[in-house]
Amino acid sequence: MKLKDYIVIGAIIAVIGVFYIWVTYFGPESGSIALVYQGNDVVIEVDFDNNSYVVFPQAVDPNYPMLTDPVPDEGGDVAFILLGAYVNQGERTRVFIEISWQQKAIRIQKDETPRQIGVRRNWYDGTGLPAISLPSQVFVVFETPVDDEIDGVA
Amino acid sequence: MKKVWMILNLILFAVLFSACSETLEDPSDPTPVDNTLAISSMGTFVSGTVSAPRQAWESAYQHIKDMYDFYHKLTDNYGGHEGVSGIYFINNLVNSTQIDQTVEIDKALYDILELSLELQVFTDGYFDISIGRIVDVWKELIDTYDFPGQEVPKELVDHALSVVENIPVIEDAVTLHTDAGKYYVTLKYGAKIDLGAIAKGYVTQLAVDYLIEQGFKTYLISGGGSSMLYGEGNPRTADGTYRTGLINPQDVINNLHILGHRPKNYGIYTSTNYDVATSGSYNQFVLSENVMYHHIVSPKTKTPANYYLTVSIIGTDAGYNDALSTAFFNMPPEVLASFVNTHNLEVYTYLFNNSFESYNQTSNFRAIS
Repeated sequence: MKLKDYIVIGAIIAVIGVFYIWVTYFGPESGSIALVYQGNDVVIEVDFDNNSYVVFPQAVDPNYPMLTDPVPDEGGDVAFILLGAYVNQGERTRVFIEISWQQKAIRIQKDETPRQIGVRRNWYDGTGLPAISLPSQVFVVFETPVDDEIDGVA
Repeated sequence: MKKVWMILNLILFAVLFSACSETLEDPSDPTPVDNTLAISSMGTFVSGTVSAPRQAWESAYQHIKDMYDFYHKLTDNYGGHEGVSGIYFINNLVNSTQIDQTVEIDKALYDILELSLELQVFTDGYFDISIGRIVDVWKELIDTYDFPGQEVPKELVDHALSVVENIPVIEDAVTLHTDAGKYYVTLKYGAKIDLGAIAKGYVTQLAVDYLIEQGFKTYLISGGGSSMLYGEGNPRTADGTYRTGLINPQDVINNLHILGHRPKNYGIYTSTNYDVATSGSYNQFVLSENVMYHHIVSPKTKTPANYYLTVSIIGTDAGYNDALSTAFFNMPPEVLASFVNTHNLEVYTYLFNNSFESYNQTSNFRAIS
C-alpha cells in the first residue's frame, strides 16, 4: 500500500469513528416503548421504533390478548382484545386496544364498563393524562415519554 | 487499491454489525437504569419511573407492590378481605349491629387513622373521614351518569339534598386508643369511615420513603393522577429538576366533548424532592341548574363545595397534602387565605372565572398565559 492509501483509510476511519461516537452517545434517545397493563401484569409491549409488539398471555385466560381487526379509518393498525377486571353477569368483560404506528399512540378503543373514561381518552402517545380504564384495570404506560417540557401533571 | 477496499469493507461491516449487537443486561450490574413502576391498587393506577440498579429494583418493586396490596386491604371501603379488620369490616360491623363498636386493628391502620384525626383538628373539621355516608349519597348521584358534565334532573339533586339533610355529622365519630401494645378504633353508630381522600397519598409517600431508604433518589411517581411525587437528578433536565403541569380545569370542561383532548396547563412548577397534590371537581361531576355536583363534599355543608375548580398544594408529604388539598377545596376563600398564610403553605387555586389565585407563590412556579 502507498502512503496515500493509508491516508485515505485513516481519514475514513476517523470520519466513521466520529460518526459512530456521535450516534452512540449524542444521538436521539432510543425510542418509545409502550406497555399495556392489565392489573399488575404487562400484557402487550409495543415498540414504536420497530413497529412491533410482544404479547404476554393473560393468566386468567391464555387465549387473551387476542388479535382482532381495528376500526376502519380511525388510524388503528393493530387491535387486540383483553379480558379486563370488570365482571358483568359473572364474566370478565372485554377491552379493545388499538395501536397506531403512524401516530405512535395507543388507545382503549372500547370497553364494556359503564363509564368508558379510558375510551374517552382516545389516542395516547405518552403525554398528558394517561389512558386508563379503572374498572377493567387496564393502563397504558410509555417508558420514554415525549418531551413536552413537563414530567407530569396534577 | 484492492487492499484498501478490503479494509474499508471490513470497517463498514464492523460498524454495521455493531448496531445489531443486542445489549444484554447483567441483572447484577450496579449501574442505575430507568425502571417502570406500574401498580394497580386502591382503585387507582400508580405509575412512574425509578432509577435503580436492575436487581435491587426487582426486590424493591415487589416490596412496594406488597405495600399497596396490604394498605388496600386495610383501607378498602367497598369490600371485605378475609382475616382483615379493615375499614370495610369496621363500617359493616357498626352498620349491621347499629351500635358503637370498638375493633382491634393493625398498627398500620391505626397510624393512618391517627394522622387523619390530627388533620381533622388541624383543618378545623374541613377534612373529616367520618362522613362516608354523606359522600356515598353524592357519589351515587354522580355514578348514575356515564360522562362528566351531564345534566341531572333537579328532582334527583333535591332527593340527594333531602337524604344528606337527615344524615348527621357526628362529633368525635372516630376515636383511637392503645392498650397493652394493641391498637383499637371506636366508631360511633351513624358514622362511616372513608379514607379515600388520604389513603392513596399516604401509601405513595410510604413507597417514596422506602425508595429513599434504599438509596434511590431519582424517581417520578404519579399516585393516581391527583398527586405527583418527585425526587432529584431528572435526566431530562440539565439541573435535575422535575416539572409539573398544573392542569387548567376550565379547559377540560370546555372540551369534554372532544375525545382525547389534551388539556392545557395554567402553570408549571419546577423543583426537586417535592410533591404536588391536587383536588378538583372537573373530572367527576354532574350539572343541575348550572351547579356542579361532585365527589368532594364539605363536612360543614354536607354538599359538594364549589369555591374552586382545583386546589393544588406543594409540599414534601403526599399523604398530608392529599388530605390538605381536600380540606382546602372545602374552605371558603377567606378561610383558605387565612389558613395557608398562617401556616406558610404554597397553594394554587383555579377559579370559576378562568383565572388562578396563588398563596405564598415561589419562583418555582411559572404561569402560562
